[in-house]
Amino acid sequence: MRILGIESSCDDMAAAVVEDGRRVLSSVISSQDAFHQAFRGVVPEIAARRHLETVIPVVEKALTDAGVAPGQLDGIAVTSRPGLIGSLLVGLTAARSLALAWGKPLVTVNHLAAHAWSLQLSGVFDWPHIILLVSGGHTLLLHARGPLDLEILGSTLDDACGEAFDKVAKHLGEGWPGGPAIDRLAKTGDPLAIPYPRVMLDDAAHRYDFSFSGLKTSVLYHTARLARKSDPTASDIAASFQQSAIHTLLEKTRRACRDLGVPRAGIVGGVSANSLLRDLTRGDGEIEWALPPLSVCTDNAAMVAGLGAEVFLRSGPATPDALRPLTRNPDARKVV
Amino acid sequence: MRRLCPTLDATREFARELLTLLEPGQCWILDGAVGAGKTTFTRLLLGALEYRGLFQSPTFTLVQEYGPFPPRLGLVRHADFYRLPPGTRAESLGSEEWFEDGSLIFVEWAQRLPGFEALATHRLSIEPAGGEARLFVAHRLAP
Repeated sequence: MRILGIESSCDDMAAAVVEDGRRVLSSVISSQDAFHQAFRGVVPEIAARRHLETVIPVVEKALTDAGVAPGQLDGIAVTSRPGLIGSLLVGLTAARSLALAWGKPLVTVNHLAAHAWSLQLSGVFDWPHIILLVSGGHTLLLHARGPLDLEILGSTLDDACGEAFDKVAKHLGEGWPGGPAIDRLAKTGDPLAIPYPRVMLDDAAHRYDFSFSGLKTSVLYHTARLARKSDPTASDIAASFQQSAIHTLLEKTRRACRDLGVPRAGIVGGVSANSLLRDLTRGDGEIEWALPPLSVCTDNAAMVAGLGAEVFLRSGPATPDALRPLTRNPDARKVV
Repeated sequence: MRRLCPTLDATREFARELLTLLEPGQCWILDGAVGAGKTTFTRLLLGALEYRGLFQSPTFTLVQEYGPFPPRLGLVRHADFYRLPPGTRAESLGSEEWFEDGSLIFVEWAQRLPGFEALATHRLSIEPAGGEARLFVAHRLAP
C-alpha cells in the first residue's frame, strides 16, 4: 500500500510517500524557521499564510523524489488534529482536493499518534511500549498498546519541555529554536556546576505529569545562588539545566515502564534529538529504548503516511466528520 | 479585590470565586514575574470551568483556545507574548480577531504588545509570597 502523507499542523509543511507503513520513498519538509525566528517561535498567522504558498510544490516534490505518479498511489493521509487551526486547514483542504481530483481515498491522522509511529519507520518496535513525546508544544507520557491505542499517562502542568529549552537559550543570548543551542553549549559545560531542581511530582494524581516552570525560573533567577563555581559560564548553566531537564524526563519514563511492567520505551518529538538524552538511553540494561532517526524527530510527513496505512487497514477512509481540523486532542486520557 | 492564598488549594478556591466575575468579551492581563504562577492560575481557572481536556502552555503557539463553556462563557483564550520582540504589531499575529467572537481572554506579558494591552479590561497581579503562597490583586481597568 503506497500512501502520500501531508503534515501541516504547525510551522513545517511536509509531504512524503511511504510504502506499507515503513518504507519511506520520499520525505520533503519545508521549514519556516526563518520566518518565525524574529518572533522566537511560531506565529500562527504567518504559518498558515506560508503553508498556502508551499503546499503544492512540497507535494509535487515528494512525488517526484519517490518517482511515483498520482495514479500509482493507494491513498492519501493527512494530519487533522491537534495543531494550529489555520495550518491544519491548509493541509486538510489540499489533501481533500487532491483526493477528489485523483480519485483516491483519504484518511486523517492524529499528529501525536503519527509521532508515535515515527518509532516504526526503521523497523518494528513491539507493542506495548511507553512513549515520551517531547517537543516545543508537547510533553506527554503515553502507554502505547498498539499503533492507534495510545493512553495518555501524563502531561505537563505548565511549560512544555522544549519551551523551557527555548527560554533558557534566550536567557543565555542564543537564538531560536533553543534546543540545538543548549545542546551545543552544554558539551563544554559542567553538568554538575549548579544543582537545578528536578521536579518529580510524586503524589498519585501527578505521578506521570511534568512541571518545567520551576526549573526555568531557577535558571532565569537563581542561577548563581547555590552554584559550585562562583561564576558559572553560559556553558555550565546550559549543561546543568540540560542535566536536570533530561534526567527528569528519563526518570518519569522509567517510572512508567516499571509501574506498568513494560520494559520498552520510545522517545519522539524534537527534544529526542538532544544528544545527552541519546547518550543516556544507550546501553541501558533495564529498558529497551528506541529513538527515531534524527530525520523524523521533528515534524515530518513520513510518520503521517506510515500511520495512514494502518488507519486505512483498520478503519477505512475518513467519514466527512473526521475532515474537520481540531486544535487539541479531544480526550485527556487517550490519543484519538 | 485582594486575596492572599497560602496554599495551592487556596488558590484553586480563589479561581472558583473569580470565575463568578468573568464575562464573555473581557480581556484579563495576568501580571507577575517568571514563575509567579500565571500559567498555573489559568489551568486552575479552566479546572474551575470543569474543563477536563489537555492543558497546554500557550508560549509555543502564542495562544491556546479552550471551550466554549456554555451557558455563561464562550471560548477562553490563553495567550502569552513573552517571546515577542519589542515593536511587534498586533496585526501580524491576527489577534484582532480574538476580540470579535466574545471570547474571554487571559494574556501573559501583554506589555510586549502595547496595541493589545490597550484593549485589556482587567488586570490580575500575582505575587509569590513564599513557597506555594501567592498574593492576588484584581482590578478593572479604566476604559
